[in-house]
Amino acid sequence: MKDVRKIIIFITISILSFFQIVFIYSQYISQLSFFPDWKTKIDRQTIIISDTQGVFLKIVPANYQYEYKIIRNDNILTLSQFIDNIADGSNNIQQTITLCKNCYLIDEKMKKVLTQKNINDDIVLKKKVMSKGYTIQSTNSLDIKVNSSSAGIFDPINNKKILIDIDQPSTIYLDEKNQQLHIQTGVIKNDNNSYVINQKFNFL
Amino acid sequence: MIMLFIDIFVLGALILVKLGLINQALASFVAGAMIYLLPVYLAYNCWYFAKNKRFIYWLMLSLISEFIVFAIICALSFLSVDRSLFITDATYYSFVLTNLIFIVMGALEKKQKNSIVVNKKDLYELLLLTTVATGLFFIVYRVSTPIPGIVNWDLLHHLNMVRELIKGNFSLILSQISDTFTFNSYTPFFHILIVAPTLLFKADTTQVMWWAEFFHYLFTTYISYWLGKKVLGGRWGALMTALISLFIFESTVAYTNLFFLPLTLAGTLGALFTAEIITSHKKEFNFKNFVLGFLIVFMIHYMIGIAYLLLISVIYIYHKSKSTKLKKILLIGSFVFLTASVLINYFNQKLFITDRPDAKHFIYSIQELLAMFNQWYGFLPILFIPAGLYFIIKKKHELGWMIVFAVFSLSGMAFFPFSYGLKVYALDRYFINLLIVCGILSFLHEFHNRFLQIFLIIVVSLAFCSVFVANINAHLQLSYNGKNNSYISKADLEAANWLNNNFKGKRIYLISDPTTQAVFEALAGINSQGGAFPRPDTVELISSINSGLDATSIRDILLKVHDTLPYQNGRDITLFVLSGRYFNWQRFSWECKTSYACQSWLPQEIQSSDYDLIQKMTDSNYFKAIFKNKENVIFELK
Repeated sequence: MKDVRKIIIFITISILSFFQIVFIYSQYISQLSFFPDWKTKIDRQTIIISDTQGVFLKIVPANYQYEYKIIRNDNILTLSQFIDNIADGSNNIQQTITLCKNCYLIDEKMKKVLTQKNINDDIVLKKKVMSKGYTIQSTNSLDIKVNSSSAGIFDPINNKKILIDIDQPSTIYLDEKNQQLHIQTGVIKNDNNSYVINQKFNFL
Repeated sequence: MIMLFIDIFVLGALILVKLGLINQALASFVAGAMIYLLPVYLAYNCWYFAKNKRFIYWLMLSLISEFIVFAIICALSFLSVDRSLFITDATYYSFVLTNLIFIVMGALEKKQKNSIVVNKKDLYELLLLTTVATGLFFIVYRVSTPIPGIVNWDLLHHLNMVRELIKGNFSLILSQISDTFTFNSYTPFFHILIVAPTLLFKADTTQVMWWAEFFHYLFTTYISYWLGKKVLGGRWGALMTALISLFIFESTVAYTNLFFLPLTLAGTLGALFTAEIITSHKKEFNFKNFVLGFLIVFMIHYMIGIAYLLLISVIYIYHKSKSTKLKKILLIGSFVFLTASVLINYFNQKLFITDRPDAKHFIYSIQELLAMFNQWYGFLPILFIPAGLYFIIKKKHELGWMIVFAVFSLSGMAFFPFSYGLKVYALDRYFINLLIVCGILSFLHEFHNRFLQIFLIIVVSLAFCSVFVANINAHLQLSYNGKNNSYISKADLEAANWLNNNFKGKRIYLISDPTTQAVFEALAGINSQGGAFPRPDTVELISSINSGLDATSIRDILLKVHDTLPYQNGRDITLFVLSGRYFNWQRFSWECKTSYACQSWLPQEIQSSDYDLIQKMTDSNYFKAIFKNKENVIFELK
């Protein structure tokens, strides 16, 4: 009987330790595979894309010397970077990235990005997000308040939320009549708090 | 033999430094080691002759020696006229005087010299632990942090304090030395521990701190080994406690074994003294040790000192009475306290001890605490902690109940939702580790076959080691700056060195965003308003600077920034730094700008769109661009 107890203890500890190693190893591998994105230098001109778990899927280095267009075509949202071709005046697409399929804007005024995960559960992510200047609004809600220069887009079919981070104050609105989404960026006038349009992104 | 080695090491290094035969990198390594070895060396002169050979007395004497060094520096600070020379002289005098005091004390105590007896098996185990610790530190933790990189931004404030002390600005109250310290959490005792070897060995402060963290990692491992040996007894108990200490890194707030901070040193010494008290016999348990231990821990960190005092006071009372009834009351009381803390936390009640934004931020919910615990330990403690409790109750281990009492009461404090409460975990972790080891031992005791025991120890160690690797990996992501893991970059060091070389002896006042201020305070010893913690009115002023303003307005704004400490306002030169960090910070929301937890710590290059302001200032008559690299542009106000 005592031997059975010993065998049970031996097997339990070995299996649990083994599971812990495998579990941690899988976490570690996901961290490593995640690394190329994390190791991209993030700044305010970077476009950050996250999924519902609060995990950033893509980090797109943006260069605002060039024009960006976010194109909605058959509910597929793509981001294109255009470079003016000085010779003939036409635009060349330098980079096109599919952001998500079936996307739409979640909140045009509050500019909040929702995640289904409580960001407080992930200490590393929380610190990372905070060190980028985001304020985590509440302790246990699913909201992450992004700062005034961030925009959120939601894909209802894939249940994915996207954060587009831009370096200037912006207005985002849905033109229902023309089925278009617009982001207007600009600087705030101090006297009457109105926007001066500086750059316009079209969701075609 | 060991003491001969320390003798040769200390005196040899001092002579070589005096002769200028070792370079600064090597001197910094030696000085890092000396943070621990210097007090030990001083104490050795007394312990060598003393009646009592116990290790703890030696260690106590080491701390007393540092205490004397500190007291002499305090006394000399009142007498000194030339402040810039005072600290260097004071350090040398205090070092020599302390040595003399101890030699005389030791000679009076007893004429017969003691010899140090080291058990061979202990030595082998310590060598094994040293090898593992060295491997983990350099291969896992510091693999992508070249000297003098920093993965812990708290260190910047302490570097600033060390530099202020070296400049001769001494006070027992930190906020009177620098307005970076707005909350007085400790005396400069910890910083004197760093100042002394840095000056004696003419080392570079930033590099000394890099090495100090390695020696601190070794120190916490040795202390854990000693704790395991004293409290649990036997070989496996000591070895497992040390291994668990190596593998568990509290990567939020507590940071006990890998960060060298007042908090972590106080926690480690507090655990050491507590263990000494609970393992000492009634006749050896004297009030003198009680008070001395408390004073040392308290001077290093007030909060840990208070937690330590509460803990040992209760144990002291029990030691005096030895009442079984009292023991039960204490255990039940501590359990009720822990439960109450968890419940109060669960119902989201919070107690802020200051108005500082970070004081509000560093309160964690139970869910967050459990997530952290899982990240630091993995899930195995779910098995080992209950097993440890059962083991202690079943065996009626005399010391076991005190471990349980310490775990319940200190965890109660750590989980209680008040600002910085989790800092108590720096002390608590040693007792939680002991409880986990009790659980492991309870299973090991089932086996008499040595091979099976070793196999289980290896398997469990690997499981904890895997947690360590993943935890460190996740933690290091925070400090990844695009090239390596560090909150300071080559460009920062280049700018700081340039300032040091070109403005030597001049009083410089630097203005920038909080993190740039903190970096330059730490690396170049330059004063700023508040470093990483400027006052809200300063933040408002700096925040109001934008490319829309003309150079005259920017200059007017900068001239309104004043230090909190009147004597720090005197300046020969005022500098304004526009850095990648600064421009990133300017884009933050107001809440972020005023929050310590939400700052632009990572070094970054200045973006092309930000050069408008730089160009405007360069073209103006009020500013002169005196230094430029990809990350920092330094302007001097004309």
